[in-house]
Amino acid sequence: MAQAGATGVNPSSNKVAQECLIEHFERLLELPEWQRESALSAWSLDEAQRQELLALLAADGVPDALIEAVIASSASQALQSIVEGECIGAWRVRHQLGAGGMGTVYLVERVDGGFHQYGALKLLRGFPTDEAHSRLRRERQLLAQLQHPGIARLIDGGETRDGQPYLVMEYVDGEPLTTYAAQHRLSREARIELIDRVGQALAHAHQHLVIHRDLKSANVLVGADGSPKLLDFGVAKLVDINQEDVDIPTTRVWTSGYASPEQREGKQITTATDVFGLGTLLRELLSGTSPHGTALMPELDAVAIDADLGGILNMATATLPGDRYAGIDAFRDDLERWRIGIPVRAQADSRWYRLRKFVARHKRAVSVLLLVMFGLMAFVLWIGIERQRTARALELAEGRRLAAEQAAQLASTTMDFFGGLIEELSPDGNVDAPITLRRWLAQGRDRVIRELPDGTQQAPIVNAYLGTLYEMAGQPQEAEPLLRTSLEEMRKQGLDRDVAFARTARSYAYLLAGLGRQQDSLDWLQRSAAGFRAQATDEGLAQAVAVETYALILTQRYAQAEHVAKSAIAAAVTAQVAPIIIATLEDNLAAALMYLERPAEQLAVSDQAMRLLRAAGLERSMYMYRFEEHRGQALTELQRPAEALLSFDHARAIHVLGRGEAGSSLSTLDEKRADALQSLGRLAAARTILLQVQRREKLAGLRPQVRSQALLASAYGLEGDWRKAAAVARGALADTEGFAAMPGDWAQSVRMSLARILALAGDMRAARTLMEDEFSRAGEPALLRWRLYLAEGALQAGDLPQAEQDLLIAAAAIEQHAPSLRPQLRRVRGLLALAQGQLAAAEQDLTELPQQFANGPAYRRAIAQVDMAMLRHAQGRDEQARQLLAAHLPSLGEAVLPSHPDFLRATALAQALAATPAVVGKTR
Amino acid sequence: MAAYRADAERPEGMEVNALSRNEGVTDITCLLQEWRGGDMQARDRLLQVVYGQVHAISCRAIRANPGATLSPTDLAHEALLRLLGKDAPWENRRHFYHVIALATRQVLVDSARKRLRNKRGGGALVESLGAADAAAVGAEEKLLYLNQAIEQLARHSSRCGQIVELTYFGGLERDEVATALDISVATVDRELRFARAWLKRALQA
Repeated sequence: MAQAGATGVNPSSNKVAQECLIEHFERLLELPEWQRESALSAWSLDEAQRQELLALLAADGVPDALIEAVIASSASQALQSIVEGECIGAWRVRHQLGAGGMGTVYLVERVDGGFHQYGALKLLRGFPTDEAHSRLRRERQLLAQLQHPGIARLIDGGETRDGQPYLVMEYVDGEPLTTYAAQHRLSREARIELIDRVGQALAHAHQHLVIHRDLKSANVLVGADGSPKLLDFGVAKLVDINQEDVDIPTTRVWTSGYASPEQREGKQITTATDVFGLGTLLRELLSGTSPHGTALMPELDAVAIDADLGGILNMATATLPGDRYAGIDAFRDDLERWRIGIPVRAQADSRWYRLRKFVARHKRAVSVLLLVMFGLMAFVLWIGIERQRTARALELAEGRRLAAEQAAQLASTTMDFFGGLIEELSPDGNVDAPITLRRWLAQGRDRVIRELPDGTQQAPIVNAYLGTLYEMAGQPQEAEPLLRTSLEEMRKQGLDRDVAFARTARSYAYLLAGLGRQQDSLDWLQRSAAGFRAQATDEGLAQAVAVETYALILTQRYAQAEHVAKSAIAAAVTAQVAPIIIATLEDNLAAALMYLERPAEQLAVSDQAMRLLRAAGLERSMYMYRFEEHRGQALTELQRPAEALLSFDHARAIHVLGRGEAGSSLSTLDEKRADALQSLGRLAAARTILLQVQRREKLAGLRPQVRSQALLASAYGLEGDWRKAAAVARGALADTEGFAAMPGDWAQSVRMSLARILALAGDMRAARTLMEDEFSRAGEPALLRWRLYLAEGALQAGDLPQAEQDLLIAAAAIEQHAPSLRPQLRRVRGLLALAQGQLAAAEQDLTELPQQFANGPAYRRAIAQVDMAMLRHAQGRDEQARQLLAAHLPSLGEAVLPSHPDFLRATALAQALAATPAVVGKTR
Repeated sequence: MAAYRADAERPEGMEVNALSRNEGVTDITCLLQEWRGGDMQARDRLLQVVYGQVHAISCRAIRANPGATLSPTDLAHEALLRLLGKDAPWENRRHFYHVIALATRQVLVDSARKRLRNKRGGGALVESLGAADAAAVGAEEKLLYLNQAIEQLARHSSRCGQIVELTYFGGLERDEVATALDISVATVDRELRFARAWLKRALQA
C-alpha cells in the first residue's frame, strides 16, 4: 500500500485522494520523524492535502483518552436527563442542587396544590428489581419515622415514570459543617458542641434502628441559627438496596475518606459505622483538615487536640468496630466528660492518667479522704499494739508469743484490707459517683463480704470498724447488723475481754440507744465496761467508768452520773490517762449537768475539756466538736444566743471536716443553730437552715424527721407564714412511725407544739382534738397547760368565750406545773381582757410584758410593745400608741413576713392612727 | 467498575429471565437472523428494542461510578449478556455488536442534542464544527463534534467509521473488530490509528 501511495496518486479523483490520505498517513508514520517532512514535500500532493496530513500527524501524538473522555462525560450528562420544569410525582424541578454518589439532587417545589413547599429531590441511581422495590418502600417508611430537629425529614418518595426511585427530603438552607465552622470561626468547644448535637440526632436515629452510613461534612448543614441538621439519613442504604439484585451484605455507597474500614471491606454495617463517621467528622472539624489530609479552608484553623481528645478520636475511629464506643451515646458521654474535665473512657487504660484527673477534680475531697484513710490505718495498727499490750499483761511467755503473733498477723491482714479498700476507692474505681463516706463504707462492706469470709478472725474486727464508721456517718441501719454480727463473732471466738470488743460494744450500745432500744443498749454498755475493765489498766478503768456513766445518764440517774464521772476524772488525771479518755468522761459529765439543768457548770466542764484537748493538740478532733456542742447548748440555756451560735458554728465546721456534710448529728447541730438564730430574731436565716436540713436528709434518702418537720413548721409560724406552717405540721403529724420512734415525752411536746401551730393557723378543731387525745392518753394534769394555745387561737379567731374557758384551764395548770410559761399566759390573758374591754385587767398583764421579753430578740420585744400600743389606743392614749408603733414596728417588719398576724394588727392600727407613712409603707 | 463486574459474573439465568418478560430472547434472536438475512427492517426494529435497554444500562453503569471513565465496552457486553445470554452464537453476537454500537452512539447524540436545546432555550442546534466558540464548548457540543467527525470519517472511509463505532460504542477489542468486519487485526490497528488522529484533530479544532 505504501508503494501504491508513492507511485499512483490520482489528483483528479477526490475520492481516490481521500483514500490515498490513509495510505499517505500510514506511510508517513512508517518513516522516521525527521524524514517525514521531506517525504511529504516529495509527494505530488496539493497544499490542502499536505496541511491535512500534517494536522493528522500532529493529532496522532495526542493521547487517545481524549476521545473516550468526551464519550464518557457526555454519557454522564445524558443520564442527568431531568431538566428544570419537569415534574416528578407531585414535585416540579427548579434546578439542580448537586450530584454525588447517591445520585443527583434537585431543588423541587410541590405542585399538587395544597400548601407551597420546597424539598430536595434525590434521584437514586440505578433501577431496582421487584424485590428491591418492596424493600425500598419498607425502608422509606422507616426513614419517615425519624422525627428529630437534627434530621432532615423524609417528605415523599416514589418512582419516576421510567421506574427510577426518588426521595424528597426536607430542604435545608444552611452551610456544610466545616464551612459553617470556618465562617463563624468557632472555638474548639463550640465545634465539639456542634458534633455533640449531630450525635444527638444520630442517637435518635439509632434508637429507630436507622444508620446514616454516609456521615460527612456535606451531609451536615448548619442553619443560620447554628443548629445542625443531618441530610441523607439512610439514603446510602436505599441506594444499596436499589442496586442489589440479590441480597448480599455489602454496601457500595460510601465516600472515600469518610468510609469506615468495614464499609470499604464490604462487611456488616452497624451503628459503629456511624460512630466512626462522627469521629471522622470531629477530627476534620478540630484539625481543619479533610480526611484526605488536605487543608479545608484557611479560616478553619486547627485547634489543640489534647491527649484526652486524641484518645476520644482514636477510640471513635478505631479500625475494628468492636474497639469503638459501644454507641453514639457513649461517644457523646466521653465528650461531655472531656468538657467537664473528668477522665474520659477512651483513656481508661492509663491508671496514672485517671489519678491525675481525679486529684485535679476532687482536690479537697481527696485530701480529706486521705486523712481519714491514714487515720483508719493508724487505728488498725493501734489494735495490734493494744493486743500486744494485753499479751504482756498476761505475763505468760507462751500467751505473749501467741498473742504477739496473732496481733502482727491481724495488723497486716487488716492493713492489706484497708490497702485494698483504698485502691478500690482510688480513681481506678467508679469515678462518677461523688466521694462520700457512704459510698466508701458500702464498698468497704462489700469487700469484707468478698475477701474475709465469716469465721476468720479479722472479719469481726473489720466489720466492727466499718460499723463504727457507719454509726459515725449517721447511718444506724447500716451499722447495726455489722456491729451485731461482729460482736457475736468476737464473743464466739472468746475475744470478749478484748479492747476491740469493748470499743465495738460501746459503739453498738450508743447506736441502740439512738434507736430507742434502751434495754439492749444497757446490756451492751455493761459488756463493754466489762471488756474495758478486763484490761486492768488505768485507761481501761477510766473507759469502763465512762461507759457506766453513760448507762446512768441513759437511765436518767443524772446525779449519780455526775458523781461517778467527777471522781473518775480526778483519778484519770492523777493516773495521767490519755486526754481522749478523760475527754470521754467529761463529755458524760457535761451531759449529766445538762439534764440536771445546770448550764453554767455544763459550760465550765466543756471549757475545761476543751483546754485539755487543745493542750493535747486535738483542737480539731471530733471530741472538740462534742464540747463545742455542749458549750453552745449551755449558752443557749443561759440565754446567750450569740455566743451559742458561735459555738455551734465551730462545732459544725469540725463535724464537716471529720465526717462530711451529712449525718443525723449534723442535722441536730443545724437545728440548734436555727434555734439560736431564732433567739437572735433572725427568723429567715433559721428557716433557711431548717430547709437545708430537710433537703440534705432527702438527698441522703432519709424521710424527713418529725422533729425537724416540727421545727420547720414553727419557723414558718414565727415568721407569720401560718399556711405553710400548718401544711408542714400536718405532714409531721401524719408520720405515726416517726412519732413511735421518739421517746414518749419528746413525742408529746412535739405534738403539742404542732397543735399550737394548727390552732394559730386557724384549724381549731384539729388542734383541740390533738390536745384532748393527748390528755386522755397520758392523763397528766400538766398537759392542760397547752390549752393556753387553744385560748390564743380562739382569741385570734374572735371566739372570746371559748378563749376564756381554755385560758382558765391552762392558767391553773401553768401556775402549778409550768411556771416558765407565765409570760405567755399573761400575754394571752391581757389580750383577752383587752378584747373584752376590761382595760384595767389588760393594763395589769400587758404593761409588764415588755420587761418580761427584754432579753428576747428585737421582734419579740416589738410584739410586746405592739400589744401595749393596742392597749394605749383602747385607753384613748393615741399619742403614746403612735410613738410605740413608730419605735417598734420597723424591727418587727424586719424579722417577720408582712402577713404575720401581729404585724398586720400593728400596721392596721398605725394606719388608723395615721402614723408616719414610713412605718405604714414598711414591707419586706 | 468493580460493582458492575460483579453483576456481570452473576449466573445469567436470572438475568435472562428478568429480561425475557419484557423483550423475549427468541424475538431478539429472530430479529438478528432476519437482519443477517438482509432484512433492514429487522435491523431497525432490533435497534428500537435495544435502544431502551442501552439507555437503562448506561444509566446504571454511570450512576454506579460517577466521574469514572465510561467504558462503552462494558455497556455493550452488559447489553449482550442481558439480551442474548452468554452462549449466544457468534454470528448473532457480531450483528448484535453493530446494533449496540449504533444504538449507544445514537443514545448519546440524542441526549446531547436535547440538553443543548434546553440549555439554549430551545434554539436551533448548532452542528457546524466551527460555529461554536471552542473555549465555551461543553460536553454536549464536544460529543456532537465527535459525532460529526465520525460521520465525516465514515464518508471518507466507511470501514474506518465502522471500526471507530465498534471500538468506542460497541466496546469491541481490536481482534473482535477484525472478526466482526472480516479483516485482519493489522488493518484494524492501522485504520484505527488514522481514525483516531482524524477524530482528535476534529476535537482539537
